[in-house]
Amino acid sequence: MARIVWRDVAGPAILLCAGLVAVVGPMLIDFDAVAVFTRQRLLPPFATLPSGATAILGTDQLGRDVFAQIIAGARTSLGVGVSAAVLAGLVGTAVGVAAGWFGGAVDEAIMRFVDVQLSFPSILIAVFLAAFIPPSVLTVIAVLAATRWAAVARLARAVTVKSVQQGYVEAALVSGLPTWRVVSGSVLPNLYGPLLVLLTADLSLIILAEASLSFIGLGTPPDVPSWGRMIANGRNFLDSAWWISTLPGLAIASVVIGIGLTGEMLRRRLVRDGWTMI
Amino acid sequence: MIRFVLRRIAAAFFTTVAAVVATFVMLRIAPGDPIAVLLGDMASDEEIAAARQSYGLDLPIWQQMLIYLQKAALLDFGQSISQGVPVAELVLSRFPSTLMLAGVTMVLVLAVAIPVGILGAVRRGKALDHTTATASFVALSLPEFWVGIMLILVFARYLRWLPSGGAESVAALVLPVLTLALPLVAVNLRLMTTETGNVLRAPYITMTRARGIPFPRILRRHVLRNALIPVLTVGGIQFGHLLGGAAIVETVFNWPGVGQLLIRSIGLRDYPVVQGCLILMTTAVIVINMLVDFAYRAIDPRFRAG
Repeated sequence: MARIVWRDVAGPAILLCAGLVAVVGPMLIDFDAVAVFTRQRLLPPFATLPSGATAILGTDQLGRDVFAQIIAGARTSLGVGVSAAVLAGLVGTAVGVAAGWFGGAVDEAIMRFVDVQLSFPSILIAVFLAAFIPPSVLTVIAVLAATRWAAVARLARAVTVKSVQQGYVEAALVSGLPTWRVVSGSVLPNLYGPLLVLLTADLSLIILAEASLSFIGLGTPPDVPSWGRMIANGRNFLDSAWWISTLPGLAIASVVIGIGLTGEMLRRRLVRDGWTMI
Repeated sequence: MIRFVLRRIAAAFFTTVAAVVATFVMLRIAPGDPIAVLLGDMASDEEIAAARQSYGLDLPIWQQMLIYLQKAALLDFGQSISQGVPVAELVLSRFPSTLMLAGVTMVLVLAVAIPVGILGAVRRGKALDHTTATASFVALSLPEFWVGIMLILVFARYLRWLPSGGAESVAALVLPVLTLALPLVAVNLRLMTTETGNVLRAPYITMTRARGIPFPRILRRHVLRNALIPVLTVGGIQFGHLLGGAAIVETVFNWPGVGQLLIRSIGLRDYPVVQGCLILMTTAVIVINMLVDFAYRAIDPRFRAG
C-alpha cells in the first residue's frame, strides 16, 4: 500500500501551481508592463478601481495591478530560470563528460578553470557579465547559465571518471560499440539522478540571481514584467505602499521553497549507491 | 608546506592577472560610449576625437590592454570619468566600509552558528534541531535584497528604531549586517550541527565517555576542535565572498562600500571605476581564498606530516 508522504508531495504541488500560473496566467489576465493609469496609483489591496473592478493585491506607483503583474512576472521568472538551468545543464554536462572521458591536459585545463570560477561569488560573476552586455531576455539567460555551468561540469566529470573505472564501460568498448554509444549508454545514466538534484538546487539559485539582477537594473528589459524590478520599484514607496515590494518577494520565496522541497524529495529518491553529490 | 605556499601564491598571482585581463576584455566589448556620456550630446566631432585620444581609446585594442596591464601593475587605473579623481584612490577609499561590513557580519555569523549548531547536534532530533533545520531552509529561500527591504520596512519605517541606510552611526550597521548574516547563519549552523554530530558518533568519543570524562569537557577538548575546522574554513571563504558579493545589499542600504560604487558606476558607464571595483573585489576573493587554504593546512594536523 503506497502511503502519501506529504513532505514529498508539497514541493511538486507548489511547483505545479507556479508552472500553471506561468503558462496559463498571462492568457487569462491582461497585463501591459509599460502602461500607466494615473487615476489609480498606489491603491492598497482590495481597493476598488475606477473601472469598478477590485485590485486584490493593490496597484503600484503607475497604477498597474500588482496581482496581474505578479502573474506576468511568474512567466519571466520561471521561463528565464528553467531555460538558464537547462542551458547550464547541457553545457556543463558536455564539458564535464568530455573532460572526464578524455582526461589529460584538456581535463586539467578545464577543471582548473572550473575551480577558479567556483571560488568566486556567483553574483559577482553575474554582475561582471551582465554589466557589459545589453539587457535582453536571452542575454540574462546566458549570463545566469554562465554562473552555474561550472558546478554541473564538476559533477559530470566526477561521475564520468567513476563510470569509466567500472568494468562495464571497458566491456562495452571492447565489444566494439562506438564511443558515443558507450557514453550515452553506460556513463550518462549514472549522471541523471545526481544531475537532476543539482539542477533543482541551481534553479533556486538562478531564480534568486535573476531577481537580484533585475533589482539592480541588470536583468530583463523594462518592458518584460519582473518580480525583481517590482521589488526595486516599491523601494521608493515603502512609507505609502508596502505591498509593492512585499508581495513579489513572497512570490519568489514560495517558488524557491517549492523547488527546494522538490530537490529534497529527488535527493532522497534518486541519489544512492554512493553516487555522491559534488 | 613551503612548496605548497609558493605554488599557491603563484596560482593566485596568475588568477589575478587573468581577472584583470578578463575585466579589460569585458569592458571593451561593452556597448555605450563613455566619451559620449562624458561630453554630452552637444560635443563636436573634434572634441570627441580629442577626448578619445586623451583617454587612449583610439589605440588598437591589444595595445590598450598592454598599457592597461602595465599601469595596473603600478596600481594606476586611470581617472574616474564621472568624478575626475584617480580610480585607485576612489575605490580604495570605499574598501574600509566593505571590510567593516563583512567583518562584523562574519563575527555575528560565527557567534550565533557555532553555539546553536553544537546545541542542535547534542540534542539531535529534538525541537531545536528541527526548528533550525526548517528556519535555515526558509532563510536560504528568501531573496537577500528583499529581506533587506523588509527589515527597512519594519525597523526603519514603521517602528523607526533604526536608520534605513547610510553609514553615519553604528546603528546603521545593524540592518545590513542582519541581512547579510541570515543566509550565512543558515548555512554554517547546519554545517556545525552535521560536523559536531559526525564527531560525536566517532569511536574515540565513545571511548572518552567510557573513561568517565565529564561531557562538557569532552565537548570542549575533543569535539569542538575537530568540528570547528570545516566551519572556520567555510567561514573564511564566506568572508571573501562578502568582500566580493555584498554589492546588492550595499546598494539596498546605501552603504558606502566598493559594491555600491560598482553598481552606481555601471549605471554611469564609468568604465575605469567599474574596472577598479571589479579588480579590487576579485583580488580580495583570491587573497582570502589563498589565506584560507594556508590556515586550513596549518590547523589540520593531517597535513603536517606531508
